[in-house]
Amino acid sequence: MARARIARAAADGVRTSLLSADGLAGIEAAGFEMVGEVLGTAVMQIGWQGYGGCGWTPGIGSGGFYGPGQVSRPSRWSGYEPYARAVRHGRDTALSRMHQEAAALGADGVVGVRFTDERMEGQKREFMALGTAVRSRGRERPKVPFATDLGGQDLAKLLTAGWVPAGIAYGISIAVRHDDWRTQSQTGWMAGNTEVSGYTELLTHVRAKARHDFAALAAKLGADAALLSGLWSHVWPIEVGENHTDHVAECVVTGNAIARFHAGRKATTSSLTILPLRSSR
Amino acid sequence: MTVNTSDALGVPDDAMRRLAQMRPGQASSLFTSDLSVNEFLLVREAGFRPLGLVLGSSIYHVGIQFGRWSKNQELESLSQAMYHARELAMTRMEAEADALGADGIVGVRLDIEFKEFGSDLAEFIAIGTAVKGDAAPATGGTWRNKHNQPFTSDLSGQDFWTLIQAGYAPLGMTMGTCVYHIAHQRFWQAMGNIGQNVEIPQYTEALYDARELAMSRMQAEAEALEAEGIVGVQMLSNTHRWGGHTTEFFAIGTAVRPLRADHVIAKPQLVLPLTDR
Repeated sequence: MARARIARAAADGVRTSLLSADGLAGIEAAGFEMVGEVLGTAVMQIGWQGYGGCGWTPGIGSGGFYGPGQVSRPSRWSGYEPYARAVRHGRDTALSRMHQEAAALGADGVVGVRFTDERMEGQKREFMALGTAVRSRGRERPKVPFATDLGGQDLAKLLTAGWVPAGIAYGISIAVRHDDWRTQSQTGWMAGNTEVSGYTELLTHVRAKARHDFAALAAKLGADAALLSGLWSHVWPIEVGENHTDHVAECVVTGNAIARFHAGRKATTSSLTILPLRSSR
Repeated sequence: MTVNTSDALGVPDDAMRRLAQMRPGQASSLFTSDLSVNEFLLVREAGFRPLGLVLGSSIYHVGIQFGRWSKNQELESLSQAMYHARELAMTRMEAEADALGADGIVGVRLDIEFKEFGSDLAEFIAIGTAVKGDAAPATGGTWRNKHNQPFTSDLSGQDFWTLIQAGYAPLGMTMGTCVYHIAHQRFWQAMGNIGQNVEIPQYTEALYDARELAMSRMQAEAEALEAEGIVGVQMLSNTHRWGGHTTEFFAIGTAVRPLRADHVIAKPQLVLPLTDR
């Protein structure tokens, strides 16, 4: 069905777009024309999250029963890897299907990409990527269309300054930490003012991992820079056994990989100071 | 920022060629940043190169304090907690920037998020983009502050550009905090005021005191940095989770130093936008 829609769009010349009027003016100023709306979607069943307890057993491990819990043993952090892999796979599939539609329309890139990640009933999750395909008015063509979640205005500004979007980068990390006597003593009402070092380390760990994956993906594309468009993190407790809770942290980083095509080290934009004559109300 | 669209219809051939030549997997000196496109381009134009996103965080257990609730008073233990936790987050962010060899950190956001799990647990987080100057300041010296630490600034990329144009350099973010308890009114006093429009002096005094304390602490930090002044000051009050009578008064701004004697920027051109907003 999608193929039929794309074939029809390619043939009849009717253009659909998600861009605003300003966005359209932006892509035209940058030397592109709009080709059409493109979509990719994938529904994943994410059942097994790969969590088999926090890996902590009384009396085993360097911490021991009363010792401070370790926080950096790799096996412990990697407990949720199957979940992260499934989410990554869902996003990648949606994105690559969107790319296929764009390629079928003869586009050079997709701008204003919106990602949705919706939990459906059961353990299903739908990943969807939706954007507007654009085509350069020039003669040069990239091997694969680029994608960016930036709108037309930002595309125009980047291109004028000598930067081109290369692709969308993404990093996800999730980890669990066992609550030990130290965390408990740091959070009790008698604790007073104190940093809860275990939770700080847990969050620092997942953020560092997600940031690292994000940068690694951008580097893999061959880009020179990556501008973040979102950094989201969340911590929640899980009941692992009777009278015991552990804490899980998740971090997601999204953004745009961009590549430089102007030669000089200096910036190529020059700003004017302007005073808009708007009413102040 | 002016976008010149007249040259060759803005045909993006160079850009498309760059994409065609892209070699995946090639090692590059990639940087990351959470600046917007506008901010990124303006920071570049101001003569700074982003080095990477830097971040510092601390999950902190804020203690409880008992006091005489019938009296206006600062809750020193809570003020201390707010200071200490922010300090931890900021220092960790600065340490990341220092490791990257940065001259400063721009676009810093300093947030507090109280967690749903566990009472009195909050995460303090500082995020910004580490930058390095293309050249040392025109007047000599370095961009770093007098402790040889990267400067920090919570100004947007746009404000940062304007500040540099006007011949100022940021020194560091300065802040002052004061957690204050406003006395509960005595029963007969509250009864006497029912249905009347009157000033409640103890409230006025409490708010005055608390703001004064926060602002004078911020000023002291700027003096310690030998700043000329503080720009972009925000005065926030937040009750977090402490209920109606306990409030944090928080002052934050960017301390600046002059780079040259005159502070003239190009005379703004007037524009008349044809949009509503």
